[in-house]
Amino acid sequence: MKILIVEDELDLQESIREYLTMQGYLVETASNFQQGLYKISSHIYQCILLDIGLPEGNGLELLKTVKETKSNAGVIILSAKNSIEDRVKGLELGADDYVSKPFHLSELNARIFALLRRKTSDGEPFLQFGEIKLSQKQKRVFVHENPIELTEKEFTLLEYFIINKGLVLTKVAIAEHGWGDEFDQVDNYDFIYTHIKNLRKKLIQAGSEDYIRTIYGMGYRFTA
Amino acid sequence: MRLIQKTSIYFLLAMVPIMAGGGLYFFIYFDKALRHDVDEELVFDKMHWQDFLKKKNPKNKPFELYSPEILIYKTPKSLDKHPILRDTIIFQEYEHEYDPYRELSQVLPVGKDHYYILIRKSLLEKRKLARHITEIMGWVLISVFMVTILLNWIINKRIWAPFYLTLFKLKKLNLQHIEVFKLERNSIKEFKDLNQALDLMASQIQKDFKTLKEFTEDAAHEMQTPLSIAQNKLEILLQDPELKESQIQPIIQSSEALNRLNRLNTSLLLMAKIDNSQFMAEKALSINPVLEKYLLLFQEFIIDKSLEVKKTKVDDFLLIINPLLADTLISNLLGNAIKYNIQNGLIEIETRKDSMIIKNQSLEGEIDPKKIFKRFHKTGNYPNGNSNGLGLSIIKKITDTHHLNLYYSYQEGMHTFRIQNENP
Repeated sequence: MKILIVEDELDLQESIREYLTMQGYLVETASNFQQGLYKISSHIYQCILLDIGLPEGNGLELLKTVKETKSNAGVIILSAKNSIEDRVKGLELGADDYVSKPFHLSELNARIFALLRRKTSDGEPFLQFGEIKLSQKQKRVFVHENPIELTEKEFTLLEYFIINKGLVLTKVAIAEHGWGDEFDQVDNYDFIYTHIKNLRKKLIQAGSEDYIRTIYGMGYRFTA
Repeated sequence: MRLIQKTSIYFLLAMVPIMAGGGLYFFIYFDKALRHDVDEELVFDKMHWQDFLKKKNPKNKPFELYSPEILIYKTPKSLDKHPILRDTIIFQEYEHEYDPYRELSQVLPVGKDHYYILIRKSLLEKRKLARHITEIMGWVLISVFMVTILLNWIINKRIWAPFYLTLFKLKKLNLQHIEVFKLERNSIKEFKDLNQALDLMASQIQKDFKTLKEFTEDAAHEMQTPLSIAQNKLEILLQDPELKESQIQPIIQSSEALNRLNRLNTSLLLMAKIDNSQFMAEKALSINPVLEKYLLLFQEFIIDKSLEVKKTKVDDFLLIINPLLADTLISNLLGNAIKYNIQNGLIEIETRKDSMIIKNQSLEGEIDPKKIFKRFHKTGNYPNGNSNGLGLSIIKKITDTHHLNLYYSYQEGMHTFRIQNENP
């Protein structure tokens, strides 16, 4: 899986590259419009992360180029402007997703994962971690091939954990992934704790190992 | 009191004594002049009688005359050098009243004899004349006075008209739309100066205001990139397998602090955007579906706290508002009602055509209504330290920019927020 990051902020570019490399992706980078244009037209990528606020030439122009070359690459727009117009314009031009800065790398990772799943339909139907199998299409979870009943939120959390397996996830990142912008308003972290506790209990009851590690009640790590 | 009323009153206050004094002076002056005339007539008459006594009565027969107005008789009294003139009143038998008279008396020499002569003239007619003249003068003065006041009023109104126009424009001045503030040219120097000064001031304020708004938005934008970098670096750092748990803790704490900073920044950016009128709306929108949407989105949080939600819909609450801002408004209000609620607490929502009320129970007591909508105002003793104190400011900003009234009150343990549409 090859990913291209087009981002002029080098610090940001490096973080993304490092995180995605950890996840086993092959990552290439471009720091400006010209480099981006060159790489897009000379290589094949499965996913392109595109900062639309590039200094010389709008990132949206690059997006047009990607679409013109009939590339099969999925495009995720990274934008500092959390403006609706940008989002609408980007999605109209054929971007697949939109992430506004600042974002959690774990969130970006989950978005890339979901995008690649959609793009490559011939991929594995299950997301697997040890004895846990998760069917994204059917929204069902199996432990040792036995189905278990999870709530929608529990499913979302488990999926997020497996995608970001082995990584430390802060409760803020988890909350934002599971509850989105609404969470901002309600601001109740005990709530996540309850959901994760229930998920953990259900998994263990079904005979799974306890993979969810708590870090001082501040974050979690899903690891073998 | 208006300027024109004030000047008119001062004018009146000054004119009334002047007019009264003037009237009195006229009366006294005429009276004096007329009396002088009467005196002259009396002396003239006396001289006629003296002549008559000397010439027409040569035989020196004693002459006597007794009438109400003339008395002439011989007298042994000594001569008077000058005639004696004095006022008197005489009883009029037919009219049964006293009338004012002027009389002249003198002992005169006629030949060898001394005659006493007394002549009286009624002052009644003269007095009447004086009064009439004074009256006429009075009416003339009053008319002049009225006309002056009227003219003063009209002229004042006309002269001050540009001032009132300026004042009217100043009153309607809105920093959001200060561009249209253009004052009329004027021929009166003082007003011209005033308008010039105001124009200058307005354009300066406008410039500063615009710069400030742009600065806020730019600053918030620029902050997003460094925030992203810091956030992501911390996230990378967290993944180091060599890290001890004691090292992970401060990293996550920093990350959470950054997250708060980010939310603060997002809120400020949103407010700056509302200020910069980036959320236009033309169509009226029913708020009820928005309420339903957020009640559904927040359902888990409501269930988690076992909150009871009482909804009363008298009518759909209609607003001309950008759908995004409607979302922000409702999610902030409902979010607060949930966030600050107690376990097993109550939320009451009521919508009418022109108003909406959201009530909630809370651990908090009454909040000072003067401070509640201020930026960064926090109500101290709430356990969750993640509030940035901007939620209500955003609500206030939205209501202010949409000509809505926002009221807060605390009744029977319920925090009550009411939004009232001024012009439904």
